[in-house]
Amino acid sequence: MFKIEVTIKKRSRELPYSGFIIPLSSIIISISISLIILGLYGVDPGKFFKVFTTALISPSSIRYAIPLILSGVGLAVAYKANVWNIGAEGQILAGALVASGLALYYIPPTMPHEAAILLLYIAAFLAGSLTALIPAILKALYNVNEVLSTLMINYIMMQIVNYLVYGPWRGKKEYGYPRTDIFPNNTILPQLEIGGLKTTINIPTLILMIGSAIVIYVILFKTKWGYEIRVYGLSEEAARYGGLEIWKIIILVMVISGGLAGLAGAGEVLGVYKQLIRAERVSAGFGYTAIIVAWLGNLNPLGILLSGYFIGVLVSMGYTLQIFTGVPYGTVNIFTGTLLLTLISLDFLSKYSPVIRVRR
Amino acid sequence: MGFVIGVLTAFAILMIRDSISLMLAAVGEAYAERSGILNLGIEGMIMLGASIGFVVTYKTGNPYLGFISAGLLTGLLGIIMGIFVISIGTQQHVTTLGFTIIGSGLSVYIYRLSIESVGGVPPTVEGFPRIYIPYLTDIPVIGPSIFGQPVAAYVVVLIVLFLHWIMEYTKLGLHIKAVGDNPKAADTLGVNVFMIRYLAIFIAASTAGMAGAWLSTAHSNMFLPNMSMGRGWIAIALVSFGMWNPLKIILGSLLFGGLDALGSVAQTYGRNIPYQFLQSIPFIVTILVLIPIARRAKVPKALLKPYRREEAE
Repeated sequence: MFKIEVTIKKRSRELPYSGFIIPLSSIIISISISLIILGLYGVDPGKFFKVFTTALISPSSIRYAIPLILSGVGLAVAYKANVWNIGAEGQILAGALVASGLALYYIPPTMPHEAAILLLYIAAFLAGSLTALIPAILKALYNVNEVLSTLMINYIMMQIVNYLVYGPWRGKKEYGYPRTDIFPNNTILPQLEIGGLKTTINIPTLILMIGSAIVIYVILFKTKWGYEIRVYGLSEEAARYGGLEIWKIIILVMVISGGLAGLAGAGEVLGVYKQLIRAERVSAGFGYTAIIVAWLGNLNPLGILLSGYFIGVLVSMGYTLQIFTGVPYGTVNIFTGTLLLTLISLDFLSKYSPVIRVRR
Repeated sequence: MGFVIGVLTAFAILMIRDSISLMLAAVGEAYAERSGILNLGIEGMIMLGASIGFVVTYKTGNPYLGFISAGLLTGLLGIIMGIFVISIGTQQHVTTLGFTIIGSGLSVYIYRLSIESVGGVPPTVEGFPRIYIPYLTDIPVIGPSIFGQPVAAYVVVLIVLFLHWIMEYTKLGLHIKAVGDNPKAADTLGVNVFMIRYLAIFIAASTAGMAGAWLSTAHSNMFLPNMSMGRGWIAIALVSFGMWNPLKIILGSLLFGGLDALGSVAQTYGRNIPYQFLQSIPFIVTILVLIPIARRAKVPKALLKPYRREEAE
């Protein structure tokens, strides 16, 4: 009998150019898998590349990248601290809900546009933060697993939003559809125009997205806070030994990541839909996709700008394919998932090498 | 009186029906966690199982075949997941969550690829027949709920009891627990850590798949995207709630099945309560029960830690 033994060895240094080769080969592998999957459905490669290249330059890719990047940057802060916030979906909904409620019922139509928008963003940030604060406190005080508590809150938030759009907030001018009335003009975010045509990209959230990526990059990598977050993320023991106040770190990262997701939610309802709609459509799984975005960007806000854009392209491609070929939108999840898996395993293989021995 | 019995019967039937998918998925998840792997892929695997179970039943007219295919094929996805989290040893949270995302994608893809949509109305299947035992099934309340469920329910109960027996009373169970607590020691004693983990992850994935098939061919008789509706996450919570012991997890599942059923029954009979509130009860309760158990939970010591035989420097 032969016995196969697999051991691993840490490479003395990473493979050369791995920062460039790994993402590229991941993209190639996941595109190949996508081609097979779509081929079974009768979509030929030519059509796939046409839809793909159209999506690469389509404004709708940036429109989807905005909520993905905003939430993804926030999640990266939490993941750097090894805090597993899976609740971006619920935090996006919280931001959307609070922004909608204020826009519909509390912001007077006479309030200046800029003031109204600023107020709504702040409120949405706080709403997302508060939603993330509950699991943060439960973790800091009672050691409750944040994966589960954040997931549970996603479903609870979904039900709250649906209760409101089916019930008390249902629009009077919406023919009974489960959505609120259109928001007043002074609360709607201005949309970018390209060549005289309006796009679904709203300028203020786009600016916030870029700004927050830069600010979070600086916080994570250039400040004492960021240092403490990373130390705690690498080793809880080291953080305790170094005398860090762990509960503060947990609450800080959760509040930041929830707040940014809240901003994404506000951007969706104020800048794209102009009304609050059913929960499944407001966030449309972006809170989960943002987890992939964060990891593909290597938990680095600047990397996330790129990965978020790329996933935005895939999302936009998914909707186009659904309309023109009947491939269900959910199929995009197979692409994003395989992309993530190839990336993290190649990343591992660039740092470690397997040694296979056959023994008799 | 007739009304009360009617309500109670509806409640009891639904409680058992809701708890079946939970106990199956949760006991499987306990296998994964006991061997050292947190399977956050469970939610997507339930969706995938629901899709495969439905499609096979629809094409062949045989729900048993649907149930078995869902178990085996989702189990296969579990093995693929194992390549990442066991052999390569990637970070478990993000890898297994990736599998939930892939599973949800595969579920709609496979369904749409195999079944032509007919004017927006989702097609249905006959599904599993309900058993009928003379006299027993006729007992009010407990008759239809305990002796009148679809056949698959009894199969599931046998599976989870069998899994309990394996985990608590056999050498294999001992090995699984050893691998999840101290893989290095287990390896030294000659236990094949990798093999045991692959087996555990296969069991976890295939039970999740079968739980999904139960949803689409017995609990209801159609497939809907995202039809697991968070059941996978509740199953993970049930594992800690049941202290990683299959029998306690089964009891916990009955409790949560009861909560689900309470919501459904209240929705039918209590028209003033918004149903969105009733639907969120299981999620609210999950958070509440996690608080007291979090501190005293005895988490398998090697959970989340990949086992590697490192080459000596």
